Amino acid sequence: MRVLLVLISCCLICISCSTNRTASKLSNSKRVEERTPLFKEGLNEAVFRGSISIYKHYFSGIFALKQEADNKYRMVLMSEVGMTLFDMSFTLDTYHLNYCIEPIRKKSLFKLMHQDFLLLVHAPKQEDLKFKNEAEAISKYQKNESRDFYFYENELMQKIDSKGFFNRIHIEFNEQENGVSNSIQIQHWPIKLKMELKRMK
Amino acid sequence: MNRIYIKALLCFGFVFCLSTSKGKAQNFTLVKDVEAVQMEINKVASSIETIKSRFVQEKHLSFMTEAIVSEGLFRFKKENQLRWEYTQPFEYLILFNGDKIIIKDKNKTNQFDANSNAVFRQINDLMLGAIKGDLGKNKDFEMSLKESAKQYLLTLNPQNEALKAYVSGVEIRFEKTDLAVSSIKMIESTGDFTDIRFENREFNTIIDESTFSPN
Repeated sequence: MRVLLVLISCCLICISCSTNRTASKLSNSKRVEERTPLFKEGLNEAVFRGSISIYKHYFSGIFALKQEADNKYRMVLMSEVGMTLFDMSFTLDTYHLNYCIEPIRKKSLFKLMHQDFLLLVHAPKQEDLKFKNEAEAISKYQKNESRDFYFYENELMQKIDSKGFFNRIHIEFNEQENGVSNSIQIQHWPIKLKMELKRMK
Repeated sequence: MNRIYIKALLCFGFVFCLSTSKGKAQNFTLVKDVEAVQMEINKVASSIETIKSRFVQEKHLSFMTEAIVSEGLFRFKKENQLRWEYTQPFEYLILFNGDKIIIKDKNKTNQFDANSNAVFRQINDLMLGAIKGDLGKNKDFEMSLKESAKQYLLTLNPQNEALKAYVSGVEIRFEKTDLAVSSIKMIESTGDFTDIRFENREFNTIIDESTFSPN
């Protein structure tokens, strides 16, 4: 019996040590900024000139985006000539259409938009990220309990890959200056939806 | 999605023809002899063959702290040719040439038939009507005319449901000095609005036909 207890204790110690080694490998070795490069420092709103192509259709307009409260946002897309095409409020869980012209009142389109803009505005907390790859200049992390992958260079977010079962989203924050991106590209697969945003302010 | 372009152009039309600023309107009083003023405006408008102008467009969204401002060059040539050339903060071109509407940005050029959408047709007619001075004949809008010391203010409220979905009111301002359109404001059902001011206006100068082609 004493021998058995010693054996069990040894086994527990071994398992415990092994678990610690694994945890060490997965811990983040770098700090990253817990924000996306979307809003300029001190501001909670941004304006972009944007274009959207979906399958064979293409249109352009102006996106105005504002953080109204913690995890509450509002976004308007208008034509270049000023006409509001849609006005959407959204939180992490849901969205609400305040206004939308009839031709684009498509639930599936806004579901995708909600996903996209959530990724754009909401950065994961450091503790929610699992380190995946440090070999490259750009470090790759995976958000816990998700198939969302975040890429950072010098602590700043550069790319996001969200690998859903039916839909993959790829976001690139290009032309970064003082921690904000002046050119953002959003692309979906296999849905042929692509958005390009150029900062106006 | 091509319809989106057409709908987007509605705004353009509206912006050109409509608006209502309660704040500014407080300084205005109803015109007593509307017909006489309308005749005056129509007379001036009918004498205008071309317009060259700079424009400044401001989009006011209730939830944003600042207006979104863009600007460019405007050209009009009788009977029905318009050129809106946005130069700041991005380049964008809209041409109306007869029944053709052409939109050009850095990536694409798209062409539409103005007759392909009934609402758009109404807007297009309204827009040209504002320039040509026959607005009073438009039955799609209820009209009221006010004046201040310096301006006339024509307020238009859409009467049919299709138009109301896009705009709740439009104001067109005419300077008393020349009786030509100086600004247009379009108010949406949400209360957000777009204001376009025309600056450095020149009338009846020579404008080449090529101005109204995209190349």
